[in-house]
Amino acid sequence: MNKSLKKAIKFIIGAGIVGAFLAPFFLMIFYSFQTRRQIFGDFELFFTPTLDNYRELIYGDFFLNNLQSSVIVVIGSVIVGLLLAVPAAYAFARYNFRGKDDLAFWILSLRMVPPIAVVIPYFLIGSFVGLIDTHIILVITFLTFNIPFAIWMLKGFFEDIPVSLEEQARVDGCSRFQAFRKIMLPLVAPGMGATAILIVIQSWNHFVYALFLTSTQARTLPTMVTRFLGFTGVAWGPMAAASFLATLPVVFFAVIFRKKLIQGLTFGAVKG
Amino acid sequence: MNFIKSKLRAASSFPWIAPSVAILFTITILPTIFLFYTSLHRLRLGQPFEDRVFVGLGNFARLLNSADFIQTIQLTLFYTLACVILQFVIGFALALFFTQDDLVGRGTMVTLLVIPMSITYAISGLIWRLYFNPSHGIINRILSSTIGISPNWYGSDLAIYSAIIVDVWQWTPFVVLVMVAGLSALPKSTIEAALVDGANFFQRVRYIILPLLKPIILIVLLLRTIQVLIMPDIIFSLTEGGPGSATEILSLFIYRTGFHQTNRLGLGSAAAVILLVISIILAQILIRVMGSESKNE
Repeated sequence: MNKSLKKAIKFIIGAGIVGAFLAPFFLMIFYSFQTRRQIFGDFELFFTPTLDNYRELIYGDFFLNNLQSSVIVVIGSVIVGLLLAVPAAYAFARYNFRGKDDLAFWILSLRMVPPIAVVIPYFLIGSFVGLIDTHIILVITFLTFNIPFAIWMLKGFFEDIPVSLEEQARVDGCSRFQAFRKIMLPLVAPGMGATAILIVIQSWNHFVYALFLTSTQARTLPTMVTRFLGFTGVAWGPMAAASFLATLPVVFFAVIFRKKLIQGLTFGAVKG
Repeated sequence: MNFIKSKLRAASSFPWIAPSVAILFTITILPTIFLFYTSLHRLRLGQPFEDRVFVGLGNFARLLNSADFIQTIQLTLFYTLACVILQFVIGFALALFFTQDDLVGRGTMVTLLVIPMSITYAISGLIWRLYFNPSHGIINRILSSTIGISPNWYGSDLAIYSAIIVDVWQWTPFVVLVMVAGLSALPKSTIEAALVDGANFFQRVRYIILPLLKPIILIVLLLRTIQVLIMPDIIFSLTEGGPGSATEILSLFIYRTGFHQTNRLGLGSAAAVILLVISIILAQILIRVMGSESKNE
C-alpha cells in the first residue's frame, strides 16, 4: 500500500477513536448552549447559542454556593496537605531508618481505603464533635487521600535533587533545616506546584465525603448530582451547563499536567 | 561524603514525619476501629448513639444469610471484572495503536484522551444519564434511526451494562495513558531485534512486550480493580443502585443499608468492614508488586 495513504488512514482511525472518547464531553458543552427545543430537536452542528442555561445557574440557589465551597475546600486542602506532606516527603527521601519502606507503603495503602466504608465513623464522630456540614471536616477527611498522594509525589521530586547540593550547604555551616529551607525548597518548588495541582484535581472531584458529611453550608460541586437524582424532567440545559462549569477547571489542569497526573495516580510506578 | 548519611537516624527524622503520621493515624486507624465497633452493634441512623445494642457477629451472620447481600456480592464481582477486563483489553490495544511511529499527531491524541478520565466522576454518571434516556437520549436516537432498536438502558436488565459503559468510557483512557508510558519506555533495540528475527506482530506482543510490561500491567489491573470497588460515584449518579437493586454493588449496598433506605448503621458498618477487608487485601498485593518493582530498578 502507498505509504502516505497508510499514514492518512491511521490518522483518521486515531482521530476517530479520540473523537469517540471526547464526544460525550463535547455533546454536554453543546447542550449547555442550547434551548430545550434545540436539545430535543434534531441534532444540528450549527445553531444559535443561548446563555439562558448559564443565567439560570447563576441566578439559581445552589451553583454559586457549591462553587464557593469547592474553592474554599480545595484551597484549604492544598495548604494543609503541602504543609504536612513536604517535610514528611523530604524525610522519606533523605533519612534512613528501620521500617522506612514499610511506613511509606502503609501511607500509600491509605489511598485505597474505601471512602464509603469510613464515612460511617466519620459521620458519627463528626456529629459528636459538631463538625458536620463544615468546610473543615472536608479538608480533614480529604487528607486521607491527599497526604499519601502528596508524600509519594514529593518523595520522588526530593530524590531527584542531588544529595551533594545539600552536603555543600552543610559544609558551609548551614543547619539541616537551613539547608532544607534555602537549598531544597526552592529546587523542589516546581514539584510542589505539580503536587498542588493534583491535590486540586482530586479534592475538586471527590464525591463521597462531600455527599455524606455536608448538608447545606459546605456542599461542594460534585454533590450537585443529588439535585438531579430521580430526575426525569426537561432541564437538560442547566444540568449540562452546571456539569460543564464544574468539570472545566479540572479538565484544564489535567490536560496541562497529564504526565504528572499519571505519575501521581500510579504512585510514581509510571513516569508518564 | 558520608557527612549527612552518618547522621541519618530514625530519631532525627521524627519531627519531619510525625505530624503526617499522627494525623493519618487519627483519621484512618481510629475511625476504622470505630467502624469495627459499630459493626458489632444494632444501631439506627438518627437514633441516639446510647441506644445501640451489642449483637456480636450478628450483623455479619445476617448479611451472609441474606439473599440480597449474596446477590450484591455476585453483582460486584461481575461489574468489577467486566469493567477492569474491558478497560485493560481496549486500553492495551489502543496503547499499541497510539505508540506507532508513523501515526501523525499521536502526542496530541494521547493528551486529549486525558479529558474523559479527569471529568468529576459523579458528573460523568449524570451526563450519561441524559445520553441513555430511552426516548430522547442521543444513543437511542442513533440506534433507532440506524438499526431501528431503542433498548431501555434504565431498565433492570440493562442498567448494569449502562454503568459498565460509563466506567469503561471514563477509565479506559487511564489504561491507555499508563500503557503508552510503559510502551514508550521499552528498549527499542529488543523490539527491533525481534523484528529482524522475523517475529510477527502477535509474537512480538506475546513474547516480548507483555513479559516486559508485566509489572506495569499488574499495577494497572490492581489499581483499577480497587478503584472500581471503592468508588461508587458513577453508579450513584447514574442509577443510585436501581432500578430495584439491579445496580446495587457493594459500595451502594453500604450506602443504601446504612444511610438511605433502612438507616441500619450497624448492618451497613458490617458490610463496610467486608469491603474494607477486601480492599486491604488488594492493596497489600499491589504494595508487594510495587515493592519488588522498585527493588528491580
